[in-house]
Amino acid sequence: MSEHDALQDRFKGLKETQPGPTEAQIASVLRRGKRRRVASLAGAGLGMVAIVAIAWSVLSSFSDTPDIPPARNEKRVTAGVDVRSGDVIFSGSAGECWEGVSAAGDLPEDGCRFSLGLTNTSDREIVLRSEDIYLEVDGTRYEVVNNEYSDYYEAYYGPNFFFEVSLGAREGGGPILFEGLSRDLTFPLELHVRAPGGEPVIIEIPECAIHTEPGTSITLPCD
Amino acid sequence: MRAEGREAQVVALFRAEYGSLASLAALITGDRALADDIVMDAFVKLYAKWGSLGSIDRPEFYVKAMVVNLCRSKLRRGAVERRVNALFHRTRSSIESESPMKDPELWDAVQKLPLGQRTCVLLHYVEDMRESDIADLMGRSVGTVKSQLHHARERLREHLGPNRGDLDV
Repeated sequence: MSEHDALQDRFKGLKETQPGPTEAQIASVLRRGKRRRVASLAGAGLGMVAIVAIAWSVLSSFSDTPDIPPARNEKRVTAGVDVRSGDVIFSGSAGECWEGVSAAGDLPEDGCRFSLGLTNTSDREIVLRSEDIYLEVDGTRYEVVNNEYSDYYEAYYGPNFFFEVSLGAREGGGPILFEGLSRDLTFPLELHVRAPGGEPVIIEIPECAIHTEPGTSITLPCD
Repeated sequence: MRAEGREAQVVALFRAEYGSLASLAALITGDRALADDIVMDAFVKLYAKWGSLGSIDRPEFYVKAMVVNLCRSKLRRGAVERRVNALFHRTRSSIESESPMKDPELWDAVQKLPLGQRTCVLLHYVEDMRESDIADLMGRSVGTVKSQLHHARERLREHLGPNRGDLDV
C-alpha cells in the first residue's frame, strides 16, 4: 500500500456522513438567496445609472446646445414657495410646463404634467404618502388615484423630495395622477401637501413654470 | 435564466452536495454548526449569482471552492476574534474544536496544522482531489500545493509520534 493510499484510508475515517439538508434549510437558502439577488441587482442598477449619469455629464459638457432651447413665445417666471406645516418646514418650488405643447399652445391629449421639488429643512425625516397629496381647483378637491411610483416618495425621505405630478390623465402621464380634472384649468393651481401630523400646505402652481430651485428664474418655451 | 429554473438547479445541487460539503467544512473548521452555516451561506451566494455566472462547467467544484474560501475566511476572522477576546480576558472562542468519534488522534493532529496545510491535506486525502485541482480551487500554484502537502505530512508524522501507524507506509 502506498503512503497516499494509507493516508487516504485513515483520513476517510475522519469524514462523517452528513444527512441531506432539511426542508427548512432549503427554504432558508432560497429566501436569503432571492433577497441577496434583489439587493445585488439593485446595486448593479444603481452603478449603471451612475455610469450613465457620468457619461452624460461628460458628453453634455462638450455640447453648446442650451438645456432649454429658445422658443418663439417665451415667458419668464420665477418659482419659489416657502410654506410651513407644524414643525416641518418646507421650502420648495412648484412649477408646471405642458409637455408636448404645440405651437398654438394646445394641451396634449394625455393631460399635463409638472414637476415639484420640496426640501425638508427640518431636522427629522418625513415620508410623504399618496393620501397626503391632493389638488384643489376652484374649491374642488382631487385625490391621487393612480400613483404608479408610490414607493418612490414613500421610501424617499428627507432631505429632498422630488416627484412629478400629472393632471387629468388616468395612466401614462406620470407618477401622480389626479382623476377627473378638466384640461380647462384655472391657474394658479393649488397643490396641497400634508406632512405627517401637520396641516396641509398649499403650493401654488403657476400656469407656466418648471421645477427649479426656490427663488431662481428660468426661461421657458410656453405661450 | 428563468427564476424557476435557477431555483430548481440550486435546490438540486444543494440536496446533492450538502452532506459532503458540510462534512468537509466541519473538518476544516472543527465546528459542525459553523460548517452548516458556511455551506448555507455558500448556496445563498450561489443562488444570487447563478444567472450572472453564465454556464458553470462544474457547479459542484465551484460551490466547493466557495465553501473552502468561506471556511478560511471564517477561521481567520475567528483568530482575530480570539485575540481580541484574550485582550479582554474573555475565554469563549467563536470556534470550538470538536473531536469526531473516529480517530481522535488523527483529528487532533490535523487541527494542529496551519490552515493552508490543513485545507490542502483534507482536500487531497478526504476529497481525493488532485494537486492541480486543489491549486485551482484555492487559487494557488501547483508547486505551493505540493509544498503544503509535503510539510503537512511531515507535521502529521511529528504529531502522531509512535502511533503514526499507517503513515510510515
